[in-house]
Amino acid sequence: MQSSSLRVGIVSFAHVHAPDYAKALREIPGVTLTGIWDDVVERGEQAAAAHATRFYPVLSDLLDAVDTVIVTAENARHKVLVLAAAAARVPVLCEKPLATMVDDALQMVQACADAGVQLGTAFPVRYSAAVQGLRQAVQGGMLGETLMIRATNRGRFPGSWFADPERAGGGAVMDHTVHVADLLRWIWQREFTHVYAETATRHHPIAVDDSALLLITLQGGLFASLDASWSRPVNAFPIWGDVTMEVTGTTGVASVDVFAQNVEFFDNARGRTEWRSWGDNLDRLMLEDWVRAVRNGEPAPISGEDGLRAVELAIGAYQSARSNVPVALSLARLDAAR
Amino acid sequence: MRIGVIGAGIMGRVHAVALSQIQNVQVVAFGARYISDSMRLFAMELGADVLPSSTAVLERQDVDAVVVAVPTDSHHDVVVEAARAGKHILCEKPLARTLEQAEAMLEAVAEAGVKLAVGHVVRYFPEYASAHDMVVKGELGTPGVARTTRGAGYPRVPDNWYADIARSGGVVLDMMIHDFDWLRWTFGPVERLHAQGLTFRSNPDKDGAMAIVRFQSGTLAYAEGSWSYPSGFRTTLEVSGSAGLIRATSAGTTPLTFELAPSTGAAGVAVPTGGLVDDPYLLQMRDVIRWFTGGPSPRSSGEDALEALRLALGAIKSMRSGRPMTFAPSI
Repeated sequence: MQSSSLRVGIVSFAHVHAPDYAKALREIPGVTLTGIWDDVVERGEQAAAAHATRFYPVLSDLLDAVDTVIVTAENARHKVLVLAAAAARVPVLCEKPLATMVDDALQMVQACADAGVQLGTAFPVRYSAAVQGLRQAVQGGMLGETLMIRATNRGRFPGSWFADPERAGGGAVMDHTVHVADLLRWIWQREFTHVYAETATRHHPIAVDDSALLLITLQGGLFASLDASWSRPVNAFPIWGDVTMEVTGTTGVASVDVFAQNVEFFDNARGRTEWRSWGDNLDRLMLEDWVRAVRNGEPAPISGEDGLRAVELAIGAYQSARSNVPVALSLARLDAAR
Repeated sequence: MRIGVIGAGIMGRVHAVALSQIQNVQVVAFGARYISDSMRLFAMELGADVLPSSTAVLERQDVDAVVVAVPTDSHHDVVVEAARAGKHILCEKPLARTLEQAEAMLEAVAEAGVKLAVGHVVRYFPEYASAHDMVVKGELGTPGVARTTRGAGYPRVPDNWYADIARSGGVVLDMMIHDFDWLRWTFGPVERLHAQGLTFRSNPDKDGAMAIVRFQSGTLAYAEGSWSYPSGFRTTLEVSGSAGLIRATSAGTTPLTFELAPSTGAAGVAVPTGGLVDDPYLLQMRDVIRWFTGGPSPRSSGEDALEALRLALGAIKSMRSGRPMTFAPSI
């Protein structure tokens, strides 16, 4: 890894974030997008052409040719691909959610630890300056003691395999619980103790939940609500969705709207309004930090364990939605998978 | 029609102002143990007497109906007394502090053959009324997730009764009950509700609570109330459905705002105001007076108020027990 340019591969273009990552990688100095592997050959070839790189029909060939990979496959296939990267001793940044089952996430964390390679989870929202400002305010005591938190991570229904329970491992809860879950742990430095969730399918004729409301309890009794619904109208809403937090403390309230920085475009031809972001490219900030860690052999900035804890919350939410009672979360031990 | 206003706090004044704008209606008396100088002056302007108690108002033969705007835990006694005196009643929300009180009040009213309206005024806020109509007409298709938040500063009043949960019920009975009422009005009976809150673990002036509600129809809702917004009232309302999304927030829809130099004046009970020729309290009062004089019933009934109270008390119970509350199918 002493070469002047860090070689990065992308494993699967199934996830909607893959093109964004490819674009961001090509903008980062000292990084080469070496190639793309995809089990859907046509999709992989098209992506390789679109991002001026090479399509690798055989995964092990790509793994041999790169310093790190980014896995942007369907949620349920993260595990097998991350294990393959670990076996090839290639550091791997995995799209969120890390896995669709706690046991899978554990195995991934363990395999990468055993192989001595970094495993990262793609939580770009940590790189928002607004989120970092909130973290500083909370940890610096500006809000006094935090009393309660209201959060949203709502979005448009992303379509395709996201509505397939097998490949996605769930619906809105699986897709949209983990970002805020990670922020809660990162900002307040506490683990989850309980989760209560109500889920429903109301907006779309699909086989998974599109409506999801959670009440989350952290250590010390701090509680937070989260709306993880795919409730933004696909055609009419001006932006993909949101990440917001309103934090009530003993000495004040802080509000964060991570994707508030937009130019509002009243598009007459299409008869709709669109919000075009002028905020920071969080994907790029995340990827820059990841390649820095890989280049320097440093721990993953956002770890596999961070991904695992968020998955535990999502899985707990589904258990609660089935049982209609709050579910106590027991943190899986990281040596349990050995 | 001649009205007595029992309670001379902020809400007593709000209702008296509304009454003063309605033709053929006259506020003839205020009844209050304590009355501020400015309220005394206001009573004088209205030509109303200031009496020392609810009983003194209810004994007046020229009083046809009363507005009850006393602290929550006194609603029961005053309303029952008013019913027995044969007066129609508009009682501020929440209907009562406990379900037992509320049920006894409805019984007393039925027995006396008088009418009881309850000030669930949010049904008269135009944005909430519009949103209700849009949902009921099916413009959103299948309703999915509703969200309501309601924030204000802690209501500071002379004897600080809001700080006593046993008297006020905290932020849930003061603030969230408005949204529970609107949600139930719009989405029907509730199946289950789970709440988390600060009512039993924070200073009363920092009370806040959040609840997740599942309706029997399958629609979900999130409701939040908070007293952590000293700079003023703010509300948000959102409903998503299979055919679209509606949003109505107080921020950005206030057509007249001021930014004044800071003053040291302490805020009393925050009441959302401004921007409408006929404010919601007047719309509500017109409906109530029309009902008292033989017209159609207003948007919410005593039974509606009882059910809103049932949900709000359920939320308090849930936050205390850490368990969701399940409601009987009939509710």
